[in-house]
Amino acid sequence: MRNLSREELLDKIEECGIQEYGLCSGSLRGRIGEAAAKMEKTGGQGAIVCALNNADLDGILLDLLKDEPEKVMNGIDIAALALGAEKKTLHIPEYAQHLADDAVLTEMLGQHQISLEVGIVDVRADAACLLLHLVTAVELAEAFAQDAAAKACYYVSVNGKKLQRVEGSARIAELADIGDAKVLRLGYAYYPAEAAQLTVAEARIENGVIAVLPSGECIVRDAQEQMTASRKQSCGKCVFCREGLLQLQFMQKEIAEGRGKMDYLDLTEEIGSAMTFSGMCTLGQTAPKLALSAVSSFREEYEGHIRKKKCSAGACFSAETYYIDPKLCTGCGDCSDVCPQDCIEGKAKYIHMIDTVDCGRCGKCLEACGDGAVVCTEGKLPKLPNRLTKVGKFRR
Amino acid sequence: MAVITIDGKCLTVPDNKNILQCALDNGIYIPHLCHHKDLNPLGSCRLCIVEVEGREGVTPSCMLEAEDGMVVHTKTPEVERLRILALELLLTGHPEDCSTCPKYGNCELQQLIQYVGPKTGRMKMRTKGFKTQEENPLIIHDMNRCVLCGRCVRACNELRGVKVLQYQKKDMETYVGTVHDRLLKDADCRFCQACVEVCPTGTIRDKLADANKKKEDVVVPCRHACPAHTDIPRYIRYVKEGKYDEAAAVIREKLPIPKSLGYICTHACELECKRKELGEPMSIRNIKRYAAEHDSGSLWKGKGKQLPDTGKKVCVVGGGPCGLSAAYYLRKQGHAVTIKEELPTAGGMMAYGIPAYRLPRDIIAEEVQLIEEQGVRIETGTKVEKPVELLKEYDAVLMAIGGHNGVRLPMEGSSLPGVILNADFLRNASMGKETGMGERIIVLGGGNVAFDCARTAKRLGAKEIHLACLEAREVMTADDEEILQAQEEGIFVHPAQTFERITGEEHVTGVDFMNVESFTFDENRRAIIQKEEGSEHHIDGDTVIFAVGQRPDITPEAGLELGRANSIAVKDMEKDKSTSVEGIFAAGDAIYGTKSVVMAVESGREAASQIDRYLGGDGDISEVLAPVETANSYIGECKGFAYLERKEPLVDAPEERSDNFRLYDHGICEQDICAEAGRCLQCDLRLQISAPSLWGDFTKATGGAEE
Amino acid sequence: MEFEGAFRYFPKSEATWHIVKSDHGIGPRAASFMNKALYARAQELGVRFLVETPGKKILMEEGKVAGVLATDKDGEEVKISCKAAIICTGGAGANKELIKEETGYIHGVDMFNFAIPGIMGDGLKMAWEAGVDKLPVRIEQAAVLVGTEELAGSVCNVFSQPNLLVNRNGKRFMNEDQMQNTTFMSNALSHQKDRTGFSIVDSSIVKYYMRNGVDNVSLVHPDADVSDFAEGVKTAQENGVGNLIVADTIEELAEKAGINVENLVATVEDYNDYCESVDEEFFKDRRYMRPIEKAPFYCARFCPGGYGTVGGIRINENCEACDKDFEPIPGLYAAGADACNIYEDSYMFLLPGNSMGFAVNTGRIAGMTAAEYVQE
Repeated sequence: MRNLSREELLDKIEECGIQEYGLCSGSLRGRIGEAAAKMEKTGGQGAIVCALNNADLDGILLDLLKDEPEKVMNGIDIAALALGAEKKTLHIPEYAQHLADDAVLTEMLGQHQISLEVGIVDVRADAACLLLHLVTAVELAEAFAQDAAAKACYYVSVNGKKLQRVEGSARIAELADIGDAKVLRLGYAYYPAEAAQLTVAEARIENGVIAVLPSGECIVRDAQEQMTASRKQSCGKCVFCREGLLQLQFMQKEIAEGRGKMDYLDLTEEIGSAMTFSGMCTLGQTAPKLALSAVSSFREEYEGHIRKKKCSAGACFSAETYYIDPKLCTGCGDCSDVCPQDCIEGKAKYIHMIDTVDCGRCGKCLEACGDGAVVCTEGKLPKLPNRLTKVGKFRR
Repeated sequence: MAVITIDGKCLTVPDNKNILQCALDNGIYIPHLCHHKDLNPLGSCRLCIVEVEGREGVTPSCMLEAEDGMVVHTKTPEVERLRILALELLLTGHPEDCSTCPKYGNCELQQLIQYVGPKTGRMKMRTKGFKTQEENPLIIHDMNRCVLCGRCVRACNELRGVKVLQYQKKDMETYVGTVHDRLLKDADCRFCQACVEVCPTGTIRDKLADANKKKEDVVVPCRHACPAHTDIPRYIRYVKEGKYDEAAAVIREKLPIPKSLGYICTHACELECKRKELGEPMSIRNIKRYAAEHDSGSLWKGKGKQLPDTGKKVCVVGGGPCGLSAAYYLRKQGHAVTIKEELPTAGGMMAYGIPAYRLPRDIIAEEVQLIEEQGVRIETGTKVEKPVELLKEYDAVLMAIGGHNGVRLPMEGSSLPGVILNADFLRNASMGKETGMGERIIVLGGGNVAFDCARTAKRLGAKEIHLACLEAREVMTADDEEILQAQEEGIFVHPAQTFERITGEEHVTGVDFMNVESFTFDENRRAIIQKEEGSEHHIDGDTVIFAVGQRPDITPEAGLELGRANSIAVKDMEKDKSTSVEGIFAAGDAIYGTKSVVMAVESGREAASQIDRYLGGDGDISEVLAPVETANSYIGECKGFAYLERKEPLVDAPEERSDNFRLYDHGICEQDICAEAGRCLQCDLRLQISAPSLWGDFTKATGGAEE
Repeated sequence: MEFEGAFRYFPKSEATWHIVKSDHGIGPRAASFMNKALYARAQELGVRFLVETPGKKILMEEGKVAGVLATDKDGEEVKISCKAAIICTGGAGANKELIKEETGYIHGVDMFNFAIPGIMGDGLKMAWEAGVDKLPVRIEQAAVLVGTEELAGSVCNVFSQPNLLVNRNGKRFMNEDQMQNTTFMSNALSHQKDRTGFSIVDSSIVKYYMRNGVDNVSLVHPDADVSDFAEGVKTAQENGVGNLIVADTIEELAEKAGINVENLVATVEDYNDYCESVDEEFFKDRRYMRPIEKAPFYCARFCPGGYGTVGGIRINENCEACDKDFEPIPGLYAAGADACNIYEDSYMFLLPGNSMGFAVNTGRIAGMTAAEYVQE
């Protein structure tokens, strides 16, 4: 390989037909050509920047650095030679910065003269550089090693387990046990359980994540977590990414906590779809897809949360509510003494009140009350005091 | 060049120039926020989006390069929808209320809201929760108002190269600040204030703002404070670069006597210098002196303006800094100028007031000679009694007679033998004549002139010298240096004293004083002095020198109307220096009382301009001597910049200097001068930054304001 | 330009508040649509706008207006000859000295009006110099939470609710129910020591609001959601905001805030008793009687505020500026805040929107009258 000239390298890459893995599509040959053109135009030195997509919040594909480090680095080297650039950098996200302490990795990087950077890729920093996905580097290395047409690589991790290499034709259902789960998160979108019939190639799992949400987990909360993680990852420069993610996160949170409005669904669609083309890197462009797919594929679930305060996973709202009957309460305080959530308010001789939001539905207060004032119901609540009221003084 | 179409308008623009700037340059407004003409595009605000025929979707026009045949639409429904959405998102993190913001009326975001149309209420609003950072000198950071346009980051990193401001994150909230939130001083900020200049909102603001002054005067206060408005930052920059000829040329565009001023100017500029907010102000006078002394004259000797002879003749009465300056510029306008000077040499107060140990006489002579070389005739030893007579021979007359009569305070004993007036004393000393002083001197007065008298007396061999004044130490008008150096030389300084009487029968024996408790002026400028009970005390002396002011040496017999304090009355001290007699003008100390040499120079320049107009010229005395070039805006990093200390000049020790009239202040040495000049904040660079494009600047036809 | 309609500000007011129709329903900055429409129309009609050109002096000749002297943005003098001049510079809200002289209030101490940069009363001074009769310059007061700029919206919202309001002496001084009428509240405040009052809530009230939203909202502050109150308090404490006080006992709260400790303790006790029966002091609506029982306790301070100043120039019904003999000065007119002496210090809040109404209409009348005059 080292004996090939730059042109020969480029021809071979073209022959192999390698496509860039991940969210930035395009033939590798084409992308190298673009970077080279920019180098010429700006007089820049050019560089290879190898990283995951900025949108990748899970980073499971980083396991390739443990499993196939040689391939990654060889791929980077080949790309550098093809581009005619000397500078080679590997980016690892902040949440994976412990990798920087890995002695083996550090040594290998040193040998290949690849420098390590922690943080997402700043797409504005260097126009004349080639962004190379980790997996593309592996594909490139393999294609040259086997001297054959490139084989598209598919790496997935099911529910956070070990990264495995699979065939593109493998079905999700074969790889993961769906059971009675209703929600799948494949790559950067949510799917209903039927999507398990898709093949890995069809499902477009750019970050290697296959996650089956167990029936007790709520998609709204999961989407909220994804938005929060995206916000943490965002550099904050682009308006749509920075502010859009905040709005999407806020709306998911409000819906999960029972304060959602029907307007939020349209607003999520409006902001989310605008975000897909209004950011400069894959984070701002792709993160909204999670919220968008959740709201569109699971609209009933969202409407249930908003209109009826019902969560089919049983995670967001409890069917049961514990309350204290103001007529029976003597203000003794036995219930608040045992409450593990410390969510019962009251003073001696005052009617006690349970905070439904913080209540963990453990039932200890019901056991502790000697006057039978604590009630657990699945039905409508009676009128309850909303401020501290002396025992016996509550008028409905 | 590329021919493009924007909203139906056909334009020819340079290839690859960004479409947004092409539009703005051609009178088409496209809303924008993160874009700034002087900075590389960021493409983050998404307000400048446009649709390009043949391309899908929308593109930010700041990052779109012009290509021949491109057709652009800036106002399609989709573009407007997305633009409003972008602004809506931006405003969720911005305070809702404009009315409490100091930037109200001056805010680019506010005018964008006007143009694009506000939309709030749909989304979750928030206060970012940052505390306003007011601990830094000169610059306030109010991050709650930040819209992350990134202009300040680009200005600091790319335009100036100082690299102090970066994007930071606190609990998922992005903001702009220094690494580890250090104070600007500790982050090596150079306080060039480019960040303030480019910030579109009220986030990064000047601490020292003054709505009543012109912006330029607030941004570059040294230049504004200088009566002659010398371009100080520009010549300091040249000195830093070792280009002394260029520096001297800049100075000479405004001042014909830079060397003399380099020795004794009262440096109003230093008192306003913004560097003082970080520590000590710039040592501007010494930098000027260094430039003038190392100047070879290559840029101005034999060059500069000289208009052809006009045939008009002007007589300037008085050869001090005012008269010399006026004569110089009148000559350059082509008039024939003669200076009539009463004393044996030209120089005025520079030669006969300011002692030689502060301003060597050969320096004055050198600068006077340059003025003569320009073609000005100087007649010394000539006193003019009747200025009106001069009009028979001259087309215009300028009275620049200064104030050479010392004021004698009316008090008991004020006419006793042994009482001398400041102006007489200093003049005689300068001419090497008998001054009439004894051995024990008491100087009454607290200004620079009083100290000139005291220190001159010291050098003439007086045994004991006391200086007393009405003002308290902190408000004495003399420079701190003067007071300190005088004390080092053994002169006793007594502030806050009232002069009760001068004692003695045949001759001065001393002065009675009382201590002042408080001293103020009422609305009619009358002094109200509160004396301390029982504090009468006496100081012995055989000589009393009054140093409490000077008046012009003129009487009503001269034929000119006189004003307050015996000054020559003029119609307007700044705008119209004509006197009660047509054709006669007056300027300098003679019209406004004793001020400073630099003010006299400026007054002379103004007078020259006005007289030139009177004689049929255009009154424009400006000239260009220094190369016209834009200063380099990339100033780079400088570690510890804010902590650099002011370099002091080399000054002879008291023992060496107190018994002679040799120059004792040798200015800043060669090793230090570059470092001193390097301390400058370069506030003038801020004015090079392009002004923002607001929708109201554009023509009606495209939805803007009037032309 | 259209109006959404005419609305009430708070329930007891009349529906006179004209809200400008924007493209998104009722919300902030709606008036900018009106301004933009006015501006565009003015341009169409050929009005010439000289911005960054402050007026300095009205030039009079033989007792009539002959022109206006101004300074352009380079500091050069500009002289505009004209037969009529209309002064509408918006009062003197940013001029602390003038406010102190005219009203006795000190901006930043006991008065927190909007101080829009540049509004220094230049129009007033020009008019007085030209011989116009000087009327008192006032501030139409609206109570304001001191330090609003430093506090999150939800924090301000909670303290604006009608709970417990006391003065420095620790005593209640008004029915908190009336707090939405900020004119009444400001009036009441201006009679208290230091012209200040303290709004006090306890954790129980805070928790209720956080879970259920606040009781009183308005079209200007329509958001009842205060679920981020706790965060807002935390940020305020981290930033050292002195205007928000948190304490574990009423005594501590009183000490930190500068309220008479003994009296406040007694007031709180009485108030809590009233919460169980009836408010014997002010007969406040039971709905708003929430006891102050549970620590931590929170307190914030209210003071008079306003939009700036109003009044100073005497006008007649034609908006002609008049001298001390009530005679119009030929060619001189005034409109808006500069001429608005209909309030003294109390905005007529029961007819919300009327100071804007005054401005718009006097502007119109002045314009029409001046046009007639100029054509004579």
